[in-house]
Amino acid sequence: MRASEWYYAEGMIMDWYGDRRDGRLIDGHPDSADYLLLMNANRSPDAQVTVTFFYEEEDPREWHTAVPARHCVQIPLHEIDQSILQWNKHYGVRVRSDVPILAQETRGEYEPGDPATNAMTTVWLQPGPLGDESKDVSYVDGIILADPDHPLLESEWISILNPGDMEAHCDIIFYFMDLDREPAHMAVTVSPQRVKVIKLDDVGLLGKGTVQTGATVFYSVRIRSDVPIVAEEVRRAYARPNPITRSMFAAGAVPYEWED
Amino acid sequence: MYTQWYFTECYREGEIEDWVTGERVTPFNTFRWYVLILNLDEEKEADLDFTFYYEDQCPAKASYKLAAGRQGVVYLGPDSANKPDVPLDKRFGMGIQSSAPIIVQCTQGDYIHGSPVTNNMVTNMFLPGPLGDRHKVWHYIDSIVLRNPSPLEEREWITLLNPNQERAQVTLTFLPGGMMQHSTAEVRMADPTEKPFEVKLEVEAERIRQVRLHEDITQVQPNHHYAVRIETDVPITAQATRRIFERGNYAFSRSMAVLDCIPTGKLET
Repeated sequence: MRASEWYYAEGMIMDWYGDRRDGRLIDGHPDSADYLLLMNANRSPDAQVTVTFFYEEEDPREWHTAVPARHCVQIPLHEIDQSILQWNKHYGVRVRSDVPILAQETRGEYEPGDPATNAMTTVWLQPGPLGDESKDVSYVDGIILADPDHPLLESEWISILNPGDMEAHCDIIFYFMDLDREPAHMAVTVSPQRVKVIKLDDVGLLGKGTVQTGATVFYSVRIRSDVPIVAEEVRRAYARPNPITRSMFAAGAVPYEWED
Repeated sequence: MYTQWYFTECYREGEIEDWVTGERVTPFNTFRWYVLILNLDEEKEADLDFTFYYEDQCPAKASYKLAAGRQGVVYLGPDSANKPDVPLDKRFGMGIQSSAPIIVQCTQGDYIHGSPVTNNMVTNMFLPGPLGDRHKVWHYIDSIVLRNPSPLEEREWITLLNPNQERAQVTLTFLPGGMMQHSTAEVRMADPTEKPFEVKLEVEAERIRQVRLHEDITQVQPNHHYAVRIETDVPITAQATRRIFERGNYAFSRSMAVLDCIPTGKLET
């Protein structure tokens, strides 16, 4: 694997706590951290790296760094100037280097004032350049927990990053565990050089009716797009009614017809 | 599309060292594992043959069927209705052979006794097989053991799955890393004099092996960041796991992450 371009679709530096609807500020300090790990395995030269942050509603912003040869570097993204990486906004990331590197991302979320990581997840970035395989991606573990009175509350998001210059027209297909349910489709458009975040709790075809019937919905997701995209699943668990993330995971969607 | 998939380690916690008192303690988390499978064939049912791999015993087998074009789950928790008749009270890896193309994901959760709320949660895609030369060199680049007076403790281990009929000879190479300082745009190494180092080990045929960075490898320095290269003579799978404790509180962990390794082949130029 010798890639000099890497992507992930969902990051967020939060300086409020809550289930992302609360919005209260805690002294302006982030209660989440996002670390980008880069490794330059080459004996020379140093890798000159450009990191591009893509947002939902604003133009992308770039940040530059270097990774010494035969070194790995941990970059705390939450310490980058907020004029480049804005807090409390979803972002997707592209890493471009002038030599092949490896790229991994690890993030944590915290209770306010507590340095012990309360929730943590890590993903490998998806290697580029993005081709046809990135027009059809999927992940398997989707769930809508139905019981509104249960102590466990889970929320789930899909983030779709379109780093290209043309609109991405996506068909999101939900495959259900329930043998009586046929796959359901949802059409989504992602603007060029933007990320789109969908909170699946709010997707009516998945959850709203089933909450009323008290049935948990298990599903898998396939996203077909007319241009290459990068997609990522994020799930957070809460102990109702505490709005602080108790645990979380993220998983990059993989090509549906996965080829090495 | 793939019909063969691997997962290196479903984790189960045993004794750990209390880093305040030095005593051995056992956190009381309950573990649950969910193997989520999507049958990509929309016309044929999939026959799924699971192989469970262990540290200290021969592999065990189980079989399932999955309807065409559907998602299915094999729940491996203590109260599972479709739990296979295999040991689940210790760490294990998995291989799946399917008669139809599938995609597989594993989600693991742990729970504090009596609580229905997921205390820790991780998910990873299975790795598609068959394993080949590319699976003889693996990397992960976010490795750290945090052990200092602060409340945040991080323990980490690497697990290797050798599904072959022959023993695997493994070399782990630790490449010291550093933290980017935004104010100066420089990389600050924990110890600028620290050099890369190697550790050699074996993994028996059809076994998994766990290597604890915080106890088993003396060269790994606490609070130093590393990238890790894993090279073997036969194709294997590899996974790293990090577990977070609040210093002095070992009744349960605060969070965990599976630091998936990726098969890279040789990178150096």
